[in-house]
Amino acid sequence: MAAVTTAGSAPRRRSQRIPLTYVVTLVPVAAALNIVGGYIVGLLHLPIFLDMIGTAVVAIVLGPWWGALVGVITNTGSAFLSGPIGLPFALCNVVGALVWGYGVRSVGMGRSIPRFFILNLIVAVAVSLTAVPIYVFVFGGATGHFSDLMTAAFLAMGQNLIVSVFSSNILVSLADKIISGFVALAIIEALPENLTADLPLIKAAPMRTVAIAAGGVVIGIAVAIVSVILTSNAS
Amino acid sequence: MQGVAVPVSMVAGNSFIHRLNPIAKLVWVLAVLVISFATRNPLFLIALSIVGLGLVTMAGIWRQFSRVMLILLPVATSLIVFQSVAPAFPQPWTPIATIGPFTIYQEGIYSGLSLLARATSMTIFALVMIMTTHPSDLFTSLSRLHVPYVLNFMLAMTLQLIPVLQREIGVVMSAQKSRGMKSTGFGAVIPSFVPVFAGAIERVQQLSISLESRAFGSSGHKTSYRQVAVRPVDWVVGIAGFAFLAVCIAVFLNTGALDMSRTLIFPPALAIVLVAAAAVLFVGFIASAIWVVIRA
Repeated sequence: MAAVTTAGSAPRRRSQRIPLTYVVTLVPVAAALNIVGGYIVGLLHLPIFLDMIGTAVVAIVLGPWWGALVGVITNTGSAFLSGPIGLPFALCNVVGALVWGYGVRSVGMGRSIPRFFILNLIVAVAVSLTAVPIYVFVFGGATGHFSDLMTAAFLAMGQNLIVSVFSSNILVSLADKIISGFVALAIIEALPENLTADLPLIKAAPMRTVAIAAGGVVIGIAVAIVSVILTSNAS
Repeated sequence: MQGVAVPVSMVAGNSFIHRLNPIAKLVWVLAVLVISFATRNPLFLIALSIVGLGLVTMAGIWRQFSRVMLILLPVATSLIVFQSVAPAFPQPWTPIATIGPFTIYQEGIYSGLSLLARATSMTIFALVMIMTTHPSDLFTSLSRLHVPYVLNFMLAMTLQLIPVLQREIGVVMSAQKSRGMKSTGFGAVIPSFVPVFAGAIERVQQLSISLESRAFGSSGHKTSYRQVAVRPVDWVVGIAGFAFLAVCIAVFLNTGALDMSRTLIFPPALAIVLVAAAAVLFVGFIASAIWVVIRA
């Protein structure tokens, strides 16, 4: 296990040392990278979103509320690209930023690989819990994404719409947030030292290990969901 | 709702809609947003969408507009399929037809059509505004409404950076491919993201210095390169937007939001055709998505 870079100094002192102009330029760059993340996913043919990496980087480096601002600007900016249907999901981005930001900076969840892994699982659950009501009550359960196949499968198993959308969304969200979190970690390592010197953060893990771990978690949760559904149908 | 972004930018033109003040257009977009969420009457929402399409014709932006509207197609097919068999509506549900093992419900068709018409009407009005308004004009107008300059600056810069970063990604991925590295799948995530982000951070440092040297954040009166005039017709259109919103809300309050879920009856044949067509398209999208993932 790699060592924590540095721990200790208060977040307020750290953010005071970063000039406003740097923050004002880093936030839009992170928001643009969130939006472009969707473009990269299309190029790499991945069944996930990767549209919160910039949010995670800023929430961890500058603070949770700056990350939340990145989330709001991401979805507002997306409205200028693909219309306003993505606007309600700004709330998911804000929730993700707050969990990542406070998790690393206040609770110390970035001090080891297992802790950071658990933090990403918490982010995935929190974001899914926020996203599912939006999907169900605004878009009737449709996402226009690969996960609609799983939603249809769960509906065919006799589950109601909310349970079906949550079950499919949590599987995609777990893989997405675990990978996003560790990509953010790799990006933070590449940032200038004056930004990251005081962060209580572990060094990034190899991506192959992260992908295998994420795959394991997703398969485990999928098996658990299906077995719960089959058991409840049988009884 | 995430996915590959289709860049929407202003379509140059000199129509009445193009010449309207951005704030007047924004008032209408917000009014339609509130109205769309205030009712679930599909007929009203479809009528609103038809009015929006009239504005698209008036602005002469059909070609670019129809390309962007295709984004809604996968969502529309999933939405109709899911809602027809599992309506987001209080029970009891009225069955009107069956397709194989699935029962189609009256409330499901009502709910599916209303949710789809809601998303469509909001998207049409928003796209009309986006495609007929220069972003700088919108941000200049917003700053006149005392929206913080820093917020406007960050949003404008985000929009300017997107095409730049998309170009950089193309360059990075071409470089990775030329070195024989993997260009699809999870293995290509880090080699694609990190160089692009590192390059973007260098850009942040240069921009930050540039802003410092121009005294960003200093107090005093700010001027803008683009000037946006407010004409009497802009006031009329803006006030008409508020009036339309007020009238609709008053009507909704007096008529139970024009609820027709128990009175608007869909013929079984129409329901079967609608759901079958949506299901075929849905299966097509899912099959193509699976094919793309397997190939990666």
